[in-house]
Amino acid sequence: MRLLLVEDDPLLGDGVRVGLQQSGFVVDWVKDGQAAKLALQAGAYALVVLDLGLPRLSGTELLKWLRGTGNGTPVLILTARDTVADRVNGLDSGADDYLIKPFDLDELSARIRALLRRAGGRAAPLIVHGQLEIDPATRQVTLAGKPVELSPREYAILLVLLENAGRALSREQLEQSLYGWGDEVESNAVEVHIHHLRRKLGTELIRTLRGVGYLVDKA
Amino acid sequence: MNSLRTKLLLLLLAIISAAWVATAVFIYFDAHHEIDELFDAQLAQSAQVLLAQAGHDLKDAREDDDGIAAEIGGAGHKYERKIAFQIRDEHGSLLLRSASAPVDAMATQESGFADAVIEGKPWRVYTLKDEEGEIRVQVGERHEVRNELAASVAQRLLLPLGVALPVLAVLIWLAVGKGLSPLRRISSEVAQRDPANLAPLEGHGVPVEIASLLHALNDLLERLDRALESERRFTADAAHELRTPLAALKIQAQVARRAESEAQRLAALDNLIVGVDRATHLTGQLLTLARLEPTAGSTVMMASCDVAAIARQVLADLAPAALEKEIELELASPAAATIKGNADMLAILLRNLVDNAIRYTPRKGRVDVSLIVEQGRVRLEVLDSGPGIPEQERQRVFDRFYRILGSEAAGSGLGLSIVKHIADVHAASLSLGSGENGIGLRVSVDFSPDSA
Repeated sequence: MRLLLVEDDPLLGDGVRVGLQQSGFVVDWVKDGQAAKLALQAGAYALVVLDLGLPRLSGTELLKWLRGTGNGTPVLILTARDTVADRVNGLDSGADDYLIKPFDLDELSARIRALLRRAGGRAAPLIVHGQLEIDPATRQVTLAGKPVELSPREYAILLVLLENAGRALSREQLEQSLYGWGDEVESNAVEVHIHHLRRKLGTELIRTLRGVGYLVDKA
Repeated sequence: MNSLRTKLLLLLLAIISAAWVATAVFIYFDAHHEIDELFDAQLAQSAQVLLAQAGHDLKDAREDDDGIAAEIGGAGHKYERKIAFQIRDEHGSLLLRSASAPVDAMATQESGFADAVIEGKPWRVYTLKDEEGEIRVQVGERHEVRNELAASVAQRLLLPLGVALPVLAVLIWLAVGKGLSPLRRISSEVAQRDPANLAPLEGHGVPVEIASLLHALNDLLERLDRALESERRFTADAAHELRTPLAALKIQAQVARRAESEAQRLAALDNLIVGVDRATHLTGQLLTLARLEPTAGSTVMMASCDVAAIARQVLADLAPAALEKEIELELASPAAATIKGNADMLAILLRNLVDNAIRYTPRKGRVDVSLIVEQGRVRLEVLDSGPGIPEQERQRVFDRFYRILGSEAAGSGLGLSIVKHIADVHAASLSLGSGENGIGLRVSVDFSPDSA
């Protein structure tokens, strides 16, 4: 899952980025509101982690702009402002969740997962698809009760397909969700990963629609 | 005990008593004068009566008289003992005298009023001769009579004072008390005030004399309020500003714990150390600022300081930091540059400016510090080859915690606030501009000849 991190403090931003990568996310990091705007216009993110105290364009303004364009990407706010009024303001401006600095990295990851869960239309934490069971918190995958080993990229593709069950995703879209700005994209990486997934999970799971992309049927 | 009421009471009583006594003395002399005139008139009249009555009889009686005066007995009025008369013929022999009169002539004067001393006592004597010059009448009375009368009048004036004074004292005490009641009201109002309540005191119906005190008090309350407010804001700002650095520390520590590789762990731990240094620096700046804030105004210790010496010390301290970034750090200054100021504060000012310059200048850059002494004015300039400050932000950078967008350097945002504060205390002007060839930042501090 690709996340956008908007944080101007260098140490905190670096820490959060690495920390979220450790949790299996792909993270793009921008340091001010203007850059965030551009990034959001350019690409699709699963979730935005937004610091309110930003230079150039404040976090709240960015949020209002985002919702104004009809963009429903989940947004989790990080901020030093802790009064009730600030919290209310943030949530009413369109944020989906709120964390006050200093915060716990594990809690951040959990809350992000919760938001993604909701966005994916799921209530239960586990992703169940026929015989397939995925626990996003631990990134454990089991097929018919037996654990399956997946590489980080395979896992990521599987998750994106399952989150968008019933919709076909093109190779480009899959690449977008897999790679951050700094990453090198091998030309047929996606096909390779899909191939591996089919091998491990069975060929019926992921369907190819010629000229369109790949999809997983709704459970 | 230092009491307004007592002071007023004593003062008023003293004035009243003094006025009263002065009046009594004045009346004594005035009455005396009038009495003198009255008695003199009476004396003259007595003489005339005597002359008219007795002179005639004596003339007739002289035929068979051998010259010895007959006495006339005293009786009646209490004053009479002190009035005496003598009647003599043209030869000077005594024809008749009163019981209280001496045998010798009372006064040597031929006619009119005279003051004489008879048997050691002062007398007023009136001499009258008849038309033919055959009879001479002398009437006299002791001054004592007149003095007594005048004194009696004055005494009557003083006597009531003794009675009136205690009564007056009580009345004055009450009146002054009433007059001072607004003071009591205000002091009780202030005493009941909650320490947190710094609203102005009620000023309606307050007497003019107290109005200025009240005004000054309210002024003080307002200044206190603002000072406290400023402190509250500062504390809130400081706590707020510490959150992000602390968050960074926590996250880096957690990243280190969850590290997937040794390299990642080490990187996170290094970041952690940088973060702690940063938080330490911020805390130091906050403490400096907190110590400086209350001194906006009066009680700063000023003495003769050599800015050049301070500059040399500061640069020596910061040289290692400059060296680490391979920045050229130079000082151009005369041997001495003296101004009136606070040496500790000036050191902090210089330190912040040079530290800032080193922080924001990229590797292999330059930081130049120069001191120019011109006509007794000292000018300090710090130039760097860093990114500088865009013109539109130059005013805002002095705000606390304001940091330029995109400045990667680990500053606290407080340095320039501190510098501005110290410059203000020294009544020095502070300005920002571009460095050499429009690159970098130039900070100029102009100290006036008699700073503060």
